[in-house]
Amino acid sequence: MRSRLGPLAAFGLLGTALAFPLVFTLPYPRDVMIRIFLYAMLATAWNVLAGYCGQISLGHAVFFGTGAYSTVLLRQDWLGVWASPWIGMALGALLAALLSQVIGFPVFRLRGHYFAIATIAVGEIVQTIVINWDAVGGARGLFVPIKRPDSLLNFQFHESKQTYYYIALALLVLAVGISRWIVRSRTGYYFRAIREDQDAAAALGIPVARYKQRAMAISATLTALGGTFYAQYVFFIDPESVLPLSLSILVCVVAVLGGVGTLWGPELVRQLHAGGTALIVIEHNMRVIMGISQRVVALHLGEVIAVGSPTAVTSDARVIEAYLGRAYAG
Amino acid sequence: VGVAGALLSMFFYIFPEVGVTFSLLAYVAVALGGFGNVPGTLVAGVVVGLVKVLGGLLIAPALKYAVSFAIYLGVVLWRPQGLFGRF
Repeated sequence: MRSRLGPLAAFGLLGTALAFPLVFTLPYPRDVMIRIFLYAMLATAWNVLAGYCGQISLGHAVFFGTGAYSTVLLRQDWLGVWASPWIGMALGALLAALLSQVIGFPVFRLRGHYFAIATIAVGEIVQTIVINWDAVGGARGLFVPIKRPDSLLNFQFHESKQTYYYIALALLVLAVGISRWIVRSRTGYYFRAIREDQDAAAALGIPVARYKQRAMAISATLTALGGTFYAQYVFFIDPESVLPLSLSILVCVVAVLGGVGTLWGPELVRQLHAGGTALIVIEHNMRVIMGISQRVVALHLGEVIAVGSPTAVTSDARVIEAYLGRAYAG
Repeated sequence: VGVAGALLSMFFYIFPEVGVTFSLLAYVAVALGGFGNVPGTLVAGVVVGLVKVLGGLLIAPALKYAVSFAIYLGVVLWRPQGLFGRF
């Protein structure tokens, strides 16, 4: 998306976002923007797993809740511990990453609908457990103890929403930056290979299970950061607000509206070509291959039957015969 | 589904979001039986209903949904295509 806009437009957007609280000083417009940043960040995190790696998770509320609960629990005075929410944020992210591995180990054996429903099931189980778990507040939820004065260390700002605004923006930039970095790395290519065809990816020697787990861990960690921010922003969490199925679905809706996995996807291959790199792609997905290739070699039973531009190859009679049968050729 | 909802309103509390848990359990029942398999879904529907009620009776009423989802997870891990499904 951003590469299509160009770096100038990207910096323009970021500049506008940075200047926004200087113009809009009322709490309400700032609150709207903060929530936009939060959901955009959650959607970006979800997109790492669902968009790039193709695993549609409807249980991301679990990781959001992990981030929210770990930071608030660390601040409860009755636990005898007081820790800065930033430590809670780090611990929550770590815990979410561990939890994602525990959840991922069994559920990644499933595919498609079965995987999606299994993640719903995990989410519902976790929510039910937390509702009935008195030590973490149960169905009553938990309040964040108010600390004064406002300070970055306390992660509480009662005078103005401006700092919250910049923290939310920083989290969004972090999430976008990480997913951009992933897309350009080898890991990103592996993710997309798994999304396109898991069996083909495995046949090419990609450790499918390990890379799915990796996508899940990255996604869960970022989601937990969003959960911590939510807890420190709203000051109250309960299972209905940070662990519901509706939250998982909302995040999914945001990402799907933006286009699953298309943030930089097809654009990247074109850019690589413009940079003078030649790519040889062996692929059976025709829409992909015809969209990105300049020169196509079609093989049939080990014999080269057509060479040339995508349009020339698709209109070649021998290619049509080999792919679609004699009835369509001629 | 509408008929089932009308019948249900006779003996269950209703509120606008009442459908969520039921449709979730319906997904679970279909996936448990195997997608596109009518008899499998029927059997799985009975299994999910029984597990929910027995789980509520034997373990803890508050955890009955968790128990039925756990059963789904257990079965699907044992047979990834559902009880009667084929790939």
